[in-house]
Amino acid sequence: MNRRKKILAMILLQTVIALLLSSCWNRRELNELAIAVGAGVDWVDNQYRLSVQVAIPGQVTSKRGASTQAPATLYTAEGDTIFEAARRMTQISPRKIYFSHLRIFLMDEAMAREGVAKVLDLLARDHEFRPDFYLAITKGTTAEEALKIMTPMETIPANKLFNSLQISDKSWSSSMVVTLDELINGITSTGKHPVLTGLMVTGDKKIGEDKKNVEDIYTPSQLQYSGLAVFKFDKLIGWLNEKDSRGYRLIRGDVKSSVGYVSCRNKGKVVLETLRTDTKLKGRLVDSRPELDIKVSLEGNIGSVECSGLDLTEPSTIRQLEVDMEEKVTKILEDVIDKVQTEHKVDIFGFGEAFHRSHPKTWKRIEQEWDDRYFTSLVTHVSVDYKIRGTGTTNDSFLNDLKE
Amino acid sequence: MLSYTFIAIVAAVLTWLELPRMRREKEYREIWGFAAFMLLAIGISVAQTMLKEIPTPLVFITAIFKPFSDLLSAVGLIQ
Amino acid sequence: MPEVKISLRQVSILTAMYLIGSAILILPSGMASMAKQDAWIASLVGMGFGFIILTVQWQLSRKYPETNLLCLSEKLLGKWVGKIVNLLFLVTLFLGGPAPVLHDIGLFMTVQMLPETPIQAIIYLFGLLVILGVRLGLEVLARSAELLFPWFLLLFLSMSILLLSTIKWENAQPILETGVSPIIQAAISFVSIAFLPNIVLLIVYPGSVNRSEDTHKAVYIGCLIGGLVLFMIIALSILVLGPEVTARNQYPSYILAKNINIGNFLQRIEAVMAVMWFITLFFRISLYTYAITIGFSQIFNIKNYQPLVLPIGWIMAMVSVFIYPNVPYEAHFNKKIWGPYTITVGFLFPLFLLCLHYLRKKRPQKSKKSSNSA
Repeated sequence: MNRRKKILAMILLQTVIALLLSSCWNRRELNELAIAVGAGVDWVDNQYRLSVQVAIPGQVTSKRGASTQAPATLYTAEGDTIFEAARRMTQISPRKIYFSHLRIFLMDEAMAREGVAKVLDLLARDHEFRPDFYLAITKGTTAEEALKIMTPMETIPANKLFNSLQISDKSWSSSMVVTLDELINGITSTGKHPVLTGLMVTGDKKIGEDKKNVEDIYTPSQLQYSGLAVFKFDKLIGWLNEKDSRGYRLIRGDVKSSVGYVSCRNKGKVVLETLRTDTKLKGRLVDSRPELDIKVSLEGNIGSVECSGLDLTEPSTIRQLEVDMEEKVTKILEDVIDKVQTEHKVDIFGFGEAFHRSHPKTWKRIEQEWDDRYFTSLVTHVSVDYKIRGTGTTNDSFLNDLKE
Repeated sequence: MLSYTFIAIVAAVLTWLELPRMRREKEYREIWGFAAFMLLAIGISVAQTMLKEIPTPLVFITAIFKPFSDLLSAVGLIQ
Repeated sequence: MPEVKISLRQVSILTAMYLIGSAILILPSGMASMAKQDAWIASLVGMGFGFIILTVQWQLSRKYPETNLLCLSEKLLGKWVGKIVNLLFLVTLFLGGPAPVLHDIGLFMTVQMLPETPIQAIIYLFGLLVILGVRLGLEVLARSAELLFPWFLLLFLSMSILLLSTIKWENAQPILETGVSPIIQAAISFVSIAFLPNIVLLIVYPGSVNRSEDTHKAVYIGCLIGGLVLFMIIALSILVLGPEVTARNQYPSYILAKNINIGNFLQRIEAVMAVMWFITLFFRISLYTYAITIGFSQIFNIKNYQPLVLPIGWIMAMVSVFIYPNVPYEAHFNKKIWGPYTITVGFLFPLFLLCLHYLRKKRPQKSKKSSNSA
C-alpha cells in the first residue's frame, strides 16, 4: 500500500500541476479583453442600437501629449435584442467586450418611453454585469451621441459620468444615483414608481465629439445631468425640473447635503448649507381614506450672508431663519407633490410603500387602485423642522459694518 | 471510445489501489462489497456515455412522495 | 477498521458546518419567495421546530448509547425488516443528499463564477476531494473542520460587519404582513434543508465520540451556531437586498457579498467570500457520504467501510451530473418533494422508532426476544 500510495500521490501531483498550467476554461487575460466602461441603448427603426464605450488601457496611463489616439473608443451594433447586438459587436471589435467594469448605462428617451424592462432583464440575468453601475436617461440626445463626447479631467468619459453623478448626488441633490436593483424594485413595486437621472449634452455636439473639445480651457460641449425622469412602471412619462427634483429627493430622504437660501427682510439672501436630512413617511387612516404625514428634519449651517442688519449672535435671529427656511422647504415639497399628483399621476415618492408599511391590511385592499384612485387625491401633511447648528467660521457678517 | 478507455482506466486504478490490501488481510466480505459497488459504478458510467439523456433517479423519490407532498400542500404546510 | 474517536468540540464544529452547508446557498431565496420580508422570523420559528426535531432524534439515540441509527432500526424492527428499511433509507438519502449538494456547488460555480466551464469539471474535482476526505476517515474530517472553522467564522463575520452600513430597515417592514401560513411554510422549508437532514448525524456520531454521553449536547451547540449563522444570512439578505431581490436571485448570499463596497476601496471580494460556501459544502457532502458508506458496510456486515468509499464516491460524482436536468427542476424538487421526504426520514422515522421502543419496554419479554435475534 505504501508504494502504491507513493505512485498515486505522484500521479495526482502531476494531474494537479497539469490543471494549474492549463488554467481555467474561460480564462481571459487583460490583453484579450475590451473593458466596457459605458454602454447605451437607443431605439432606432424598431431595433435596439447598443453603443459601448471601451477604455483603451494604453491611452489612459500614457503621458499626455505623446498620443494622438482617444482614451476610449465606441462600438455600435444593432440587433433585435440587446444580447445579439452585443455579440454582433465582435464583428467590429478586435477583442471580446467585458462588462464587469461597467460604470454607467444610458438609455435614450425614445426607448425609455417604449419601456426599459426588457433591457434590464439582460443586465440582471447575465453574470458579467455587476450591480454597481449607475443608470441614466439621455434627454434631447441619443445615448450613442452622449457616449461620443470627449471630456477633460477624466479622460474616460464614462468615468466622468460616474463620478459627477456621484458627486452631484451627494452635494447638490438634484440628480440621483440609481443602481439596477433599486430600479428593478421600483418597476415591480406597486407602491413606488421609479425615477432616473436625466443626462443632457450642452453646446455643439459636433465639436464635442472632436478632440478640439478638450484642447482649450473652455470646453464647448459638456455632459450635464439635469432633472429626473418620471416613470410609470418601466415607461418614461415625464420629467421633473431641477427644483422639483431636489424636493423629490428630500421626500425620499436620501439627501446627504445641499444648499438653499432664504430672503432677509431688507433685501438680500442668507444661504444655508444643509448637512444632514432625515425624512419619515407615515401613513394614517382618516375616515377610511389614506393620508400621509411627511416629517422632514434638516440640519445645517449658515453658509453665507448676503444682507446687512442680521444679528447672528442673537438666538432669536437664528430661530427666525429656521422658521423661514422651514416654510420655504415646506413650499417646495408641497409644490412637487402637487405637480406630480396633477401632471404625472404616478406615485414616485413611495407613499404607497410607506402606507403599506404602516397599514398592511388596508393596503391589500387598495393596492390595485392606488395610482388611479388614491394617490392623485392623497392628502399629505408636510412638516419640516430645520435646525441651524453653526454659523461657519465667522459670527456676525462684516456686511453689517459696511458703510453705504 | 475515449470515454470507455477512461472508465476502464479509472476502474483499474481503483482496483489496484484497494484489492491487494484486502486480499492480504483476507477481508473477503469487503472484496465482495467492493466488487458489487464497482460494477454498479461502471454500469452507471457506461450508461451515461451510451445514452445521451438519462432520466434523473429522483423521479422515484418524486413518485413515492407525491401523495404525501399533495397532502401537505392541501393542509398548507408546504407551498 | 481503525478505532475512531472525536472530541465533543469537533462534534459541535462538524454539526455546525453540516447544518450551514448548502442551506447557506439555497435557503434565502426560497424562504424570501414564501414569507417575503418575514423570512427572518420564519428562520427563528424554523429553529424552534428544529430543536424539537433534534430532541426526538437524540432522545432515540440516547436510549441506545453507542448504537447508530441503522443498528437501532434493525434491533427495533427485526433483522430483515430493519435491513430493508435501512437499504431504502440509504439509497434515497444517497440520491437526495450528497449527489444534489455536489451538483449545487457545480451549479453555483457555473452560474456565478465560471459560466463556460462544463459542470462536470467542477463536480469531478470537488468529488475527488470529498472521496479523499471520507477515505481518510471521520477523525481527519473532524480535524480539518476544526482547522477551517475559524476561517469560515472570520469570513462570515467580516462579511456581516462590512454589510452593516448597507442595511435598510424599511426592507423588513411591515412585520408579519404575510400572515402565519407563509411563515410556517418558510419555516418548514428551513427545517427540511437545515435541521431534518441531521438524522444523518445519528449514523455518524454514535460509537465514535470520546465522551458519548454528552454527544447530544455538543450537537445542540453546533446546531445553535449553525442556526444563528443561517438566521443572520437570511436577515442580511432581507435587510440589504429586500425581499424581492432576494427571492428573484438564485444565490442571494453571493449577491450580498457583491454588495460589499467600503469607500470604493474594499469591494469586489465576492470570490473570497465564496470560500465560505466551499468549506461548508465540503463538510456537508463528506458527512453524507461517510454516513452512507458506513451504512452500506453495516447492512452487508462488512467490517471495514474504507474499500467502499472509492466506488461509492465514483457513483456519486457520476449521478451528481445528471441528478437535476435543469435549474427549475431543482427548485421544484426542493419545494415539493425534499420537504415531505425529510419530514418522513428525519422526523416520522425516528418518532416511529421511539414509540416502538416504549411499546417494547412495556412488554419486556418481547424486547428481549428481538434483541436476541438482532
